[in-house]
Amino acid sequence: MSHKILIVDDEPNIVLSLEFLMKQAGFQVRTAGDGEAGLAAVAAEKPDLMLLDVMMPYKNGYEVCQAIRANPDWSDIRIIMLTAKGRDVEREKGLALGADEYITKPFSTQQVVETVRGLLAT
Amino acid sequence: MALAHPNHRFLFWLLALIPVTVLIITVTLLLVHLPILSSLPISSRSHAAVMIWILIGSFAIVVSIAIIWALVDGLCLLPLAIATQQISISLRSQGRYPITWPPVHLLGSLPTQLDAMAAALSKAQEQIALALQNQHRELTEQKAQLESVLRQISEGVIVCDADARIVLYNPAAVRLLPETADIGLGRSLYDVWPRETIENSLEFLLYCQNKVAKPSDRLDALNTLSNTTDHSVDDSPPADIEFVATPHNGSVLLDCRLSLLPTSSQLPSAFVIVFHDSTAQLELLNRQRPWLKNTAQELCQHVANLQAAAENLSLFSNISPEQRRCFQQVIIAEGRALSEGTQHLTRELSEMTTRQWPMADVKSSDLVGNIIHHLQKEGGPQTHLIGIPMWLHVDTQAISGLLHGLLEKLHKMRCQEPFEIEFLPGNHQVYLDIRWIGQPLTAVMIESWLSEPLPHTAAHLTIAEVLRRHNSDLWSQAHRDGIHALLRLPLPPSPRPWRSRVSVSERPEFYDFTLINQTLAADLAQRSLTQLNYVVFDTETTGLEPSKGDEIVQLAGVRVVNGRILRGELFDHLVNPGRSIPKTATRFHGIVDTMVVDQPSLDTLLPQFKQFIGSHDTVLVAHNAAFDMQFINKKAVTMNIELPYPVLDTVLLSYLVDEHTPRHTLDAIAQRLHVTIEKRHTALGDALATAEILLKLIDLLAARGITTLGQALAASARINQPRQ
Repeated sequence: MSHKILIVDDEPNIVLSLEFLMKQAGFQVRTAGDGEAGLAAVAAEKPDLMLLDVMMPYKNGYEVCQAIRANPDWSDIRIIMLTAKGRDVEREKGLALGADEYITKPFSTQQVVETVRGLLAT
Repeated sequence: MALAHPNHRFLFWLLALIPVTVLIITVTLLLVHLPILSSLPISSRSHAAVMIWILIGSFAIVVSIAIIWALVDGLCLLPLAIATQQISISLRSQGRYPITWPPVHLLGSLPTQLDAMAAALSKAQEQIALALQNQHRELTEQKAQLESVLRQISEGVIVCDADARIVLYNPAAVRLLPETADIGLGRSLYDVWPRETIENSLEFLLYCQNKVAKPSDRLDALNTLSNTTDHSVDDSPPADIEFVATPHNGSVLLDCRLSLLPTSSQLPSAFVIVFHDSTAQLELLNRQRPWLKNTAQELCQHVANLQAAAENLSLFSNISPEQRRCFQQVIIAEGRALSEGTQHLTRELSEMTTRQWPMADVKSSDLVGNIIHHLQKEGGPQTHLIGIPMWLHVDTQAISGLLHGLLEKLHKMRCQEPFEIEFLPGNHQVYLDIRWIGQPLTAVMIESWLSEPLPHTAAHLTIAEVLRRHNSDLWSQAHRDGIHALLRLPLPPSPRPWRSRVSVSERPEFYDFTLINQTLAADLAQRSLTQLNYVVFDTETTGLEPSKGDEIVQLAGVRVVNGRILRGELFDHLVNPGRSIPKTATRFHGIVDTMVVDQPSLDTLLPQFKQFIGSHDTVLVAHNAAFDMQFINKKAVTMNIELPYPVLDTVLLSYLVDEHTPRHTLDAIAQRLHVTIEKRHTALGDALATAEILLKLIDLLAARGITTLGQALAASARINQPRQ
C-alpha cells in the first residue's frame, strides 16, 4: 500500500514538479493551493505526510502546522516544511511549531525524495 | 622701615635753632652795644640789672621756645610719626592690624578717618578674595564638567600646538589607538601618526584660511566687476578636512577630522583631531560591494545558461538524444549553481541588513529587571525573572518596548500570572522565553499582533519592525513539561560575551593648554628649568657594583611636563637580571628571583624606556643619578643604543640649594621639603618622590639664581669636580 502525500503550496510551478516527483517515487498525491484548502484536504482524508509551504494566503504554513498538531487525531501526520523562508530563526520556528523537517528553497529534488522516504520509514 | 622719618623731627628741632640764633644774636648785639647804652643816664646798678634782665629774658624765651617746640613735637609730630609707621604696617597686613593712636594729640579727626580707611581697605580686600574664591570654584566646576564630557565622548580627541606636540588627549583616544602608541602630553603627534597626512591636511586648511585673509580687496574687485553687492559667493574657508589614516604600528582604520584652532596670525596654529574607528564599516564596505557585484554577475551567467538550455529543449523538436542529454545536464548543473548562489546571497543580505541598525551589548538581567521594576510601579502583570543572566547585542529600547508590549498582551488575554521570563542559550543566539501555565497561543493570534504599534516606544514601533531589526521571529509553543506554554523570541547574543568592561585607567592629567603658548628656546641649555620636560627614574638592582656584574631588577620612570607630574603616564617594570638576586639586595627592595623570572630583560626594556622618554629635549633625572646611569649606560653601550639626554642629579641639586646641611639622602631631602614617599625602596615609589623633590628644588634653585638647564648642569659639574 503506497503512502498518501498531500502537497500544500500556492506556487503552481513547484506543485507541478513536486506532484510529478512524488508520483514517480510511487506515492499517492493530492494537492491544495492555500492553507485553508490544505486543512480541508486533511480533514477530508488524512495523509501520511504533508509537503507544506509557509508563505501562503489565508493561512500560512505555521498556522496550518500548529492547527494540525493541535489535533490529536492528526498527530501522526509527518510534516515537511518546504519554503523559501531560509533564515535560521524561521527554521527554528517551523520545527518548534511541530514540523518534522524543514527544507529551504531552492532544494535538490533527490534530497526531498530521500527525506520523504526517511520519514515514512519510521 | 625705621621709625618715621627721623629727618622730619630732626629738621623740626633744627628749625628751633633759628629763633634761638636770632635771640643769641640780639643778646650779643645788646651786650656788645651796652657801652653805647651806658652813655644813657642810667646807673651802673641798673646797668647790671638790665644785663640780668636781658639774660633772664633771653633764657625765658629759649625755654618757652623749647616748651612750644616740645609740645608741637609731642602732640603733632610724634603722633604723626607713629601714625605713619602703623599705617604702613596696616597696609602690609591688609588693614587687619589695628592702629593704636597716642592718647593725646592735635591731629583732630585724622585718626578716625584713617581708621575708617583701614577698615574699608580690609573689607575691600576681603571681598576681592571672596570673589576670586567664588570664581575659582566656578571655574573649577566648569573645568570638571568639561573634563567629564571629554572623558565620556566615544570619539578620540587630540589637541596639538603649532609644532604638533600633544596638548590634550581624552581616554577614547587612548582606547582607539594601538596599545604601543606613545600618546602623552608634550609628545610629538608624529610619534603616533604618520607625518605626511597631518602636514598635508594642515597645509590645505592654512592655505584656504589665508586665501580669505583680505576680504576687503576681494569685495572691491567683485564690486567693480559686477556693480552689485551680491555676497552670494561663499567665502568661508572649509572648517575641517576629513581623511582616513592608520596610526603607526596599527591596523585600525581611523576616520579623522582635523580642524584648526582659531588664531589671529597667519602662522601655523594649534589644531584638533577628532577620530573614530571605522575599520569594521570600511572593511565591510570594501568586502561587500565587490562581492555583491561579482555574485550578481555570476548569477546572471547561470540564469543565462539555464534559460538558453531550457528554451532550446522546449522550442526545438529535432534534437538528438545526445544533444538532449547535454542540455539536460546543463540545466541541472546551472540549476544547482543558481541554488547555491542564491542561498549564499540571501544569507549575506540578511547579515548586512541586521548589522546596520545600531545595537549595543546589554545584560539580560538589566534589561528585564528594568521592565519588571516598571511594571511593579505601574501595577502591571506580575512577572519574575529566572535563570542565569546572559549578554545580548540588541537595540535595548526596542526590545524593552517589545517585552513590555508582549507582557501586556498576555495579561489582556488572561494568561495565568505570574509570568516567568528566562533566557536560554542556543546555537548562535539567546532565547527569551516568557512562560505561563496554560495553552500556547495560536500562530494566527501572534500574526495579528505583528503590525500593531507598541505603546511604550517612541515612533510607535511595530512588533514586526523590532523583529526585523534583530533578524528574529516570535512564536508560541508548549513547554516540555506539558503544563506551561511559552512565547519564544530568539535574540542575537553579544559577540564577545565575557569581555570584561576594561576601564582604561583614567589618566588624571590629560591636558595642559599652557603648552600651546610656550615658545621654547631652541638650545636646550637656555631653556628655563620650569619649562623643560623631565623623565624622573629610579632603579632597584642586585647590588652596588655594575662593573662586577650587578644588574637592574626594577626600572620605573615618570614624566614631568610643564611642572606637572603626569601620574597617568608611568613606566614601571620588573626586569629579569639574568642572574640570581643576593639576599642582601632582596632585604633592601623585597624583589626575589621568582618575581623576575618571567619578566622581560633589560634588552627588551631599554628600547621601550627610550621610547617612553620620547623626544630628545627631555632631561633625565634621578636621585644619585650617576649610580643608575652606570647600569643603564652599560646596557646601552652593548646594545648600541644612544641616550643623548642631559642628566640631572637631585643629590647635587639639593646640595646646590643648601650646602650646609650634611645629609642628602632621599629620606632626608624628602623630609626637609615635606615630600611623603609612598612605597619606599620600590623603583616607582622612589621615582615619584624624586619627581616631587625635583619640582621643589627647581623653585628653590631659582632663589639661588639657577634658572636654566645650562646653569644647573654647570653648577652640578662644579660640585662634582672637587669630589673627583
